Amino acid sequence: MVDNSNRAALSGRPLFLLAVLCMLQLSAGVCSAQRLVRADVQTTQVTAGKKTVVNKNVFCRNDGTFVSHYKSSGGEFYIVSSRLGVTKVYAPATNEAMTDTQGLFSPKDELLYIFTTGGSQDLGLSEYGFRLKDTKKDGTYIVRNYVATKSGSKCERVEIAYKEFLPVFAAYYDKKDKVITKTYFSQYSKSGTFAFPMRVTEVTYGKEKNDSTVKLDVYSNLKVDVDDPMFHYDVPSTARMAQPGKKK
Amino acid sequence: MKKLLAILVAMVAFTFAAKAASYEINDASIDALVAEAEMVAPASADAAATAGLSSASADSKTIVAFVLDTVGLGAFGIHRLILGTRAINVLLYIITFGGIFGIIPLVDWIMLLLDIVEGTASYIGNPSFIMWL
Repeated sequence: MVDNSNRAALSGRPLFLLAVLCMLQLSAGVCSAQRLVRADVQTTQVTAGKKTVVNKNVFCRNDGTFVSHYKSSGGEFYIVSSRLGVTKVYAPATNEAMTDTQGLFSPKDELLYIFTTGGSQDLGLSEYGFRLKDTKKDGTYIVRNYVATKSGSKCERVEIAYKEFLPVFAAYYDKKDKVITKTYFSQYSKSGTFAFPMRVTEVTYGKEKNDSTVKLDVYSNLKVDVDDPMFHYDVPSTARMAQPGKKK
Repeated sequence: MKKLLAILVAMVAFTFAAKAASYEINDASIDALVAEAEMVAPASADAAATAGLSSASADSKTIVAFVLDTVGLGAFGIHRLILGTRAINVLLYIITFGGIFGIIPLVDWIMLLLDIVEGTASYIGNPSFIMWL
């Protein structure tokens, strides 16, 4: 039997459900909003006591669209990758462009691209056919080993160490289990739910002792979900097209 | 017994600490390494290359390019500057971290060696990013 107090409660229930549904709809809308991430990157590579410095601005959308804008004393150019896997390289000074469909300039190796498109946990290894082999705890670190499933890969195993659920170290090993490259991720910046290492040090070991290359990426001006015209940049239609690797 | 236990605990703790430390790098040492390295700027390399070798023979240029690639400057595309190519190709060597992680300079090295052995100068003025394709 429904008394007056129950009737009051029951009459409020539909309104409550409606409010919950509205909130769910709003939150779904926010979650499905396109993620935009941009940053300035300074890359310094040191080999045999000599170094080069390259500055670039990168713009990444989580649908796979990626724009890199390079500026150096030698020139300026853009690399534009679409979500369909086609990459264009454009030099404004000469109005030349080339299209890469072989993946030479694919953004899949760009860390910002990896983190923006949800690959932060395995550093995009699944895209290259790696599978998780084991997980173990090492002090305050969680360490995972990934192994290659495709034959012919130069890298056979990847070890990733996590601290507070964020990757801080990755080591790449060849078929003889000799380390090829070690990468260190540090100075994480957290913007809402997006965490990104602002400093990445990569050490690639050569065959000879003391014959290694150090690459340092320092990120700055990281902005998340702040629109910019560069996210929508495209190579001018009037650019002269050339093919990479075309014989003279 | 207590001393032995303490030593064992210290050894285990040291092992863990050493292993954990291997997952992190000393940023200060990297900064020092970067600061000590000599800057190679694409513009300055271009000027040096063209000023000194513009009148050199094709065979000489091939040999110089081979030597530069051998000593590790191939990662910066310097050898391509010597051979003569578009400036964009040199920049592409740099931004692809040594020509697709060093693969292209390595193959360049082999192809230049073959060029020297055969006495041909096949890559002078090649405008392509991948000169041997």
